[in-house]
Formats: sequence, structure tokens, C-alpha cells
Amino acid sequence: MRTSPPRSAERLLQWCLRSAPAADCIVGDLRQEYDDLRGRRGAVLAYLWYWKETIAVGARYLVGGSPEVGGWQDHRPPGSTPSLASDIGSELTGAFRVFRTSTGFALAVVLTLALGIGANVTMFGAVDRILLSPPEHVQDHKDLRFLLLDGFGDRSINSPEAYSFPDYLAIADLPVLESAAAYRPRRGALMGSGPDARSVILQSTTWEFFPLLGVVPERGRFYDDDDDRAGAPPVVVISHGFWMSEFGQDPEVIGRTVAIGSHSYEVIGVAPRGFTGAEIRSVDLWVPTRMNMELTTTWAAIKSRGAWWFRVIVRLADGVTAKQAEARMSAAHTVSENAWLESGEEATSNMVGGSVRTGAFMTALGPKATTNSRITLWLAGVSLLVLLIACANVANLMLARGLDRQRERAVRLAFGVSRRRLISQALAESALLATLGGIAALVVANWTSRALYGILLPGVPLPDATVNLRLVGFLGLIVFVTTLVAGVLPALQALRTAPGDVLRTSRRGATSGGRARGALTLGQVSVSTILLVGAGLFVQSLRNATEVDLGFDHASVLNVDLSLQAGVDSERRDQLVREAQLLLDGMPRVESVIISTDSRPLYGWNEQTRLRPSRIDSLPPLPAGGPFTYAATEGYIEAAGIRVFRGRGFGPDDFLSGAPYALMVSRSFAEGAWPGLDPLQECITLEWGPVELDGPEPCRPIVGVYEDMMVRSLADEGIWSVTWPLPPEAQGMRGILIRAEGDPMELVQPLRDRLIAMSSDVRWVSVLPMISRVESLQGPWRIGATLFTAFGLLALLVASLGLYSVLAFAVARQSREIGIRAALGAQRRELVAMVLVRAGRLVGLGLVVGIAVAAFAGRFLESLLFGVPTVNPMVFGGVALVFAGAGLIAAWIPARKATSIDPVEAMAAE
Amino acid sequence: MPPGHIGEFEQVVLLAILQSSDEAYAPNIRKVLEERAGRSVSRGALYRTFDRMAAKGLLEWQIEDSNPMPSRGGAPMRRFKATPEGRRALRESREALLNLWDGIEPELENA
Repeated sequence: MRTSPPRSAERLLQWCLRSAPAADCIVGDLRQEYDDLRGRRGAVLAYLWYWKETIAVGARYLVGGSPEVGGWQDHRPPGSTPSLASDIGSELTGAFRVFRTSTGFALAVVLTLALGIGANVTMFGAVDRILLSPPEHVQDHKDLRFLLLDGFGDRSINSPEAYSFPDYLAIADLPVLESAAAYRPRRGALMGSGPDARSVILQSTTWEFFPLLGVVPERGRFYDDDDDRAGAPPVVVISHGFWMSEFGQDPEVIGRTVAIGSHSYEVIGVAPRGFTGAEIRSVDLWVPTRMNMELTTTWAAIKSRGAWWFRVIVRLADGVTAKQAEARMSAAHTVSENAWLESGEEATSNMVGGSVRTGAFMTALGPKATTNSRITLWLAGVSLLVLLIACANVANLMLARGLDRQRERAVRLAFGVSRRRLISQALAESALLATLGGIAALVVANWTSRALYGILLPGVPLPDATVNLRLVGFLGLIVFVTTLVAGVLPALQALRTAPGDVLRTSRRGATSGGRARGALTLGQVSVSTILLVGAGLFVQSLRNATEVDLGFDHASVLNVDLSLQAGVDSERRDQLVREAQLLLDGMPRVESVIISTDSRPLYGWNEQTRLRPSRIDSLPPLPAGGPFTYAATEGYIEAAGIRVFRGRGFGPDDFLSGAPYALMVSRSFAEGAWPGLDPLQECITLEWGPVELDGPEPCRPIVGVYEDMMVRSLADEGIWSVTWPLPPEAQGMRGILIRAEGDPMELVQPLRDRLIAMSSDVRWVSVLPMISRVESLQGPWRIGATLFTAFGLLALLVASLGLYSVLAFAVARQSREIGIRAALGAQRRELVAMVLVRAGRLVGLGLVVGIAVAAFAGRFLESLLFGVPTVNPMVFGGVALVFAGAGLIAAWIPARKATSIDPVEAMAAE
Repeated sequence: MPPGHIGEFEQVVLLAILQSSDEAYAPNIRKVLEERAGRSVSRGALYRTFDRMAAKGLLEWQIEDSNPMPSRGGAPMRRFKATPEGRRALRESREALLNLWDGIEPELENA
């Protein structure tokens, strides 16, 4: 089999050669040599070789001007002035030659830049995906707007969610809109049944959705208004990926069926490759909203103004501004809402009023959407800082080299070479280095972006090509800026060269530029300090998030839920749940099995309830929501690991039917409702109780108080909750809670297998260990800690290299001085101290500046952290220690070298 | 630059082409330069030199199909030939050099 050279390199080569005579012959020559080399020396070497040759040959053709100019042994006719192209060309040729002579220097620089630029290209890819690219196949996204209801609660401009279907209908047909579509955010659905069942991502949309986005089906058709109505035959549009994985790209897929939930849907179309709807996370199936909601008996929700299940996108009509559309839509919204209020169909809610706002399509999908995307933006900023450090380092190396070449430059100046020429040479060098660094960065980014995507954008399909036009443009910009930043100081240095002075002084005598290099190192240390402080704050956040007290012992708890076949009624459900309890009770490594309502701490719905504590007329507003209610059968408190700190837990008597149902409340409830009083003497009247009573609801006694539990997130504080016992005959049993002995993860599969085999009414069983749930809640901090630490260490590495190069260079330059000192009898210790003091000054000052900036900038990071103060002596101290260590290592080799300088040799070298 | 005068590198390239005769393809020419003249030439410089020499009329090439060489992936190859003009330039330059060399061998031996 023929092995081809890297495709991207070959394309680059072809582009460089586009005006060369017999270009395809040259491409062929290189292919042939690549193949030969690969056979002899292996794939990796051949790959690197091919890239090197691409650049070398390509550069010749790009900068060489006409074939009459440039090249080896070329003589310019006397009196002719060189063209700009040939000028740049000869500079670059010169730069190339210089790097051939000092390969180590060039490698160090290219590697540093590859890391700095690579980090940026990778992060830019992610930011581009989140912020800049519209979802694939969406046409004219600039005319698209998300609808938002503004003016109350969560339904604000920043969350494009939470529109009810009546809200949508009220504006859908207005003439200010060309079209409007509603869709429900993607969610998991169950396909198939029993052991073969698996989860798929489903999105239901109104039929306007596809035409509004301007998408064309790959195969078949999208649904129309006739499919999108109650009672229409079930149809589904499948994604390209689903078509491949589920149907092996069968060309006859149209007309086949997919079993979702308990219904069979006919496939009518395949979406184009890469289409993910209006958002960037992948979707497997699309179904018409009205048809599907009727089919899945959620039809009532379509008429309810309380069911904020939808997002609405509109395309404005020609010539209509967003402001005009907003005004018109707000008016229509108010009219329809008033009509609904007057009809008295539903209990009034306090969520009426408000006005319709629109958000630009891309902004609404933007960084406010998730914590992950905010962290992504931060990291993009961080990667810029890493690049800044890399640039400083490269400028530093170039300055050092420039000093060594001062004599050469002085000679050239003395021979009449213009200063302009010297500057352009310095810039040509840094341009060449930056370009090579940029190319190496593409390779780095190609390797890292897959991993980064997995961490930052879970569920977002990787684009076919990680490199797109915007990214190449960004890379070009970065390379240009790098060239300037890294080249400008050496260029200034060239400008300041005074030939006479340099030539008169001894070879190693000149010390100019030391201050600039010191300042650069200082900058590197400061910026790395900032990054490491960021890393430290995130690591501490993660630790806090891991150690946070959930209020119950979650480590051995598993939540189990049954998905039942269609048509199974609630009575049968209760029966199945009870059977499951009996079935699991005897299982090995199962300590206890409790059945409950759907509501469980950090899991399920976490229902809120209306109640009236004794002595209180109306509840105070609870910022965290609630009160939340939990109910479960005997042993619940023990199985969930809830900690009772006053009174008692429920005893067997509390579960007897007809017993005066006792209640337990959380600490915040007890202290908030009856401050200073004994909660065990109080009682609560529920608006509705666990079992229907003949008479009015009694005021139920409080028998115990437990520690607050988290209900929705790890940041929950002061949660009011109440728990009551479920008698065995209670209805509405849904959830199963299990306490395991040993590792709960190992119980997942056995539990599922056993329950699926229990009855053919069971379609699927979900088993979720609480540790998995908690881990996913810790996700943002884990990502932040991992990536900030990675970038921080990268910065530390680059800064340490910079420190090392400054010190090593200073030692080499001062070898005469050191030699004299040694000859005068200076101790080894003193010489080492001399180097270390210099290192200590640079690091110490850099730390002070870095920490000062970090302390100030930390406040902007605050909302992303978890219970960590941003002015944080512990983190600051830790970073200082890390830097002291790194500085010591960086200073050690030059210090050793200083002690080994032979006085005689040092003097003789002059 | 007087017509017919050729630089040193151009001479070497022409000689390498003549040495390779029927096999005068770019990779071979480079190999000959490396093996016989002991100098390593960058590919870019070599290709640019070909272009320049063709413009001067010192050499020409013929595009050939590369069917027998699968490693080229279908890309054509070009075989180089020195033009009569190129041969004449070589001869002239050789004569000029030989004239200059006359009688200095013993001098160099003592160096």
C-alpha cells in the first residue's frame, strides 16, 4: 500500500508552488523521497522530514521573487536596487542559515512558541465552537433571534428557556415575524425495551423549526404542519450519526421505524451530517411537538401557561427591527395573557406580566449558558497569558543571542550595512521562528483538542476538521503579534549598537541588555504567579466541593427508578415498586432497600410543598426555595444516612396505618420557623398529606430534627425540608433507594439485570449511585482545577526556563569577574550565593507583583469558585513555595557552573 | 553578467545532469551532487536553480508519466537535459578554468 505524506503539508506545498513551473513534478519528487525515507527510517521521521521540506521548499518559492533573484551563488547586477520581495527573501534565507548554525537555540524557541501558540489555538477552537460558530447548517443566523420573556424570575434575557406553548402561540403568527418555531431542549429518551433498551437524545420541535433554520434534509423530508398535529401518525427525523450507527447508512431507511418510548415512529427524513438543531450539542432524533405530546400524554402541558418547557426562535420579517418586533410581540403577549386570566382556566400564578425580549441567536447560546463555557472563556484568557510568557521567553533568548552577536553586527555596521537592514534581519528571524512555532502549534493543537473537547464540551460532536478558516486567521494573527512582541526588543537592541564601543571592548565585556532581560524574566514570573494562584484557587474549590457536607451519608447510596411500558397504570406501578423492594432485599451486598416518592435529596424532582408551621401565619420568603418534602417507608432516615441531631427518627409505630403521622424537619426549618423555641413542642399543618383523610388535616407533631441536606446543588444553604413516613399502603411510590455494602458502582449492573427480568412491564431500569451524581455536580471545579493547573504548570515551566537562561547567560558573561574573585580566594559558597541572590531577587519581585495582581483580579473569578476567598494567604504561600523550588532548580546549574570556572582559563579567554 | 557565463553552482548542476544521463530526475541529481561533489544542497535552492537555468536556456526538461513508480502517487516526473547552449557554456568555462590552472599545480602542492 502506498503511504502518502501528511495531507495538510502537501496542500500547503501545492499552494506555495502554485506559480512554480512543473509544480506537480516537485510534489511528486517529494512524495517519492518521503516514501523512500519512510521505508528506511520510519514514519515519524519521514513525517517531520516532510514538514521541514515543505516549509523549506515552499519558503523558497514564496519569498524568492523571480527566479533571477535569490538562490545560491547569485550575483546582483551592480547598481540595481533590490525589490522588497527579494529583500525579505534574502533576510529569510539569512535567517534560515542562522538557524542551521545554532539548532539548539532555534529548537528551544520553536518549542516554547509551539506550546504557547498551541495552547491558544486549542482554546480558540473551543471558544469558536461555543461563541463564534453558528450550529452547523443554520443559514443566515444573524436574522435569527431567541425569544425571552423578561421582567420576572428566571425567565430573563439570559436564559432562552422557559416559554410555554400558549406564550409561543400568542406571537407565532404576527406579521413582524417571517417565521417562529418552538422546541423543547434536548433530553434523553428510551429506545427499545428490556435488555436492549438504550438511551437516545430526542428533541421535539414545531414543524416550522427546519425551514426557519434553513436546513435541507440529506434524505427524505422534514415534517410539515400535517405531521405536527394531535393525532397525526408518529413520524421522526433522524440525525446523520443515528442513520450511520443504527441503520448502517441504509439508503432505504425512509419508511422504516424506530421504537421510542412505547410507540413506533416512522422515519421520514435524515438530517444533514453535523446538524444539531439550534444548539451545538448533538441530537439523535427530532419529532413534531404537537403529535408527540398528544402521543405521550403530556398534551395538557401544551395548553398550560405554567409549563415553561419551550425555547422559541424567530426570524424577523424583512425590514423589521428587533425593537419593533419586541414591542409588537409584547403587546400580543399581554392581550393573550389577559384573555387567559379572565377565563380563569388555571389558578393564577404570580408569573404573569413581563414583556417579550429578543436575544441575538449567538449571544443567547453564549457564555452565560453554562459554567463550563464561562470556564472555557477564562481559560482562553489564561492561554493568552501563557503565550505572553512564551513570547517574553523567546525575546529573552533572542536578546541573549543578540548580545553574543553584537560584534558581528558592529562589524557589519562598520562595513556600511544599514541599521534598517539589521532591524529587518532581527524581525525576519522572529517571523521565521514564530511561523515555525505556529506550524508546530497546529500539530500540538491537533493532538490536544480532542482531549480538551471531551473535557470542556461533553456532548458536542467534534467538527470534521479541527482546523477551519477562522482558526487559521487567528493563528496568523497570533504569529504576527508574536513576531512583533518577540522581535521588537532584539530589533531595538540592534538599533542601539554603536560599532566603535563594541569593537573596542572585550568579547565578553558588554553588559547592556541585562536590564531588559531581567525585566522580561520578572514579567514571566509575575504572570506565571497569577496563573498558579488561579490554579490554586480552583484546586481548593475542588477540594471544598469534594469535602462539602451534603447533610447525609451519600457514599453508599444508590437511586433506582423503573421505566414502565406504556399503559401500565399507577396501581400496577405501586405494586411493581413493592415487588422490587422484596426482590432486592435479600440480594448480596444490599444493606437496605427503601421505597419513596420521586423526591430524594440531590435527585429526582425535589418537590416543594405548601404548609403552615404552628405559631406562623405565613412563611417567610425562602431564598433557596422550598420547603422541600421527602417521604419514604420505614428505615429511610438510616438508609439515606440522614443525621438526626434532636429528638428521634421514625419508629415502627409511625408507619402504622391510621397513626398520627409524625414529621421530621431540617435544622434550618426548625431554627427559622421557631427561633429560640423547642421544635419538638411544635407542629405543622400540611396543605395536603400523604394519605387522604376524612377530616381536615391535623397539625402534625415534630418528632425529630436532622441536619440540612443539599437538594439541588452543592452550594445549597439553609434548606428548609420536611420528611414524613409513608405507610405501606400509600400510593404514588416511584423511587427506590438502596444502601450498599462496599462499592456501590459494582451493584449497578446486577441490580438492573435483576429488575429488568422481574416483569415484562418493566422497560428499563436506571440505577444511579449518588457518588456519580455528586461527581457530576463537582464537574466545573474539576475542569477548572485540571486545566488551570495544566496551564499554570506550563507557565511555570516556561518561566523557569527563562530564569535559567538569564542566570546561565549572566554567569557566562561574568566568568571573568567570577574568575578574578575565585583567584582572589572567594569561597565556593560565596560564588553560589552570588547566583542565588540574583535568582532570588528576580523571583521574589516577580512573586510580589504577581500576587498583588492576582489578589486584585481574583474577585472576577469569585463566582466560579466554591467557598474559597480570593485573597488567600494559603494559596499565595503555596505558590511562593512552588516558585522558590522551581527558582532553586533553575539557578542550580548556573551556580554550579560558576563554581567550576577556572580563573586561569577565564582570564586567558580574553 | 556576460552571456554564456555561468556560476559555479550552475556548472555543478549541469555536470550532475550529464553524469545522470538517462536518469536525470531531480532526486537523482541531488544524490549525484551529494555523492560525487560532496555537497549537500537544499531542495528549494535546487528547484529554484533549475527554473533560473531554464530561463537562461542552459537546460530543459521533459515531462514524463510516472506510472511505473507508485510512490509518486500519479504525479508526473521531469527529466532534465543540458541544452546545446548549456554544453557550450560548460566547455567554455572548463577551458577558462584550465587556462587559469596552468602551471600552478606545484605552487599548491607546497601550500
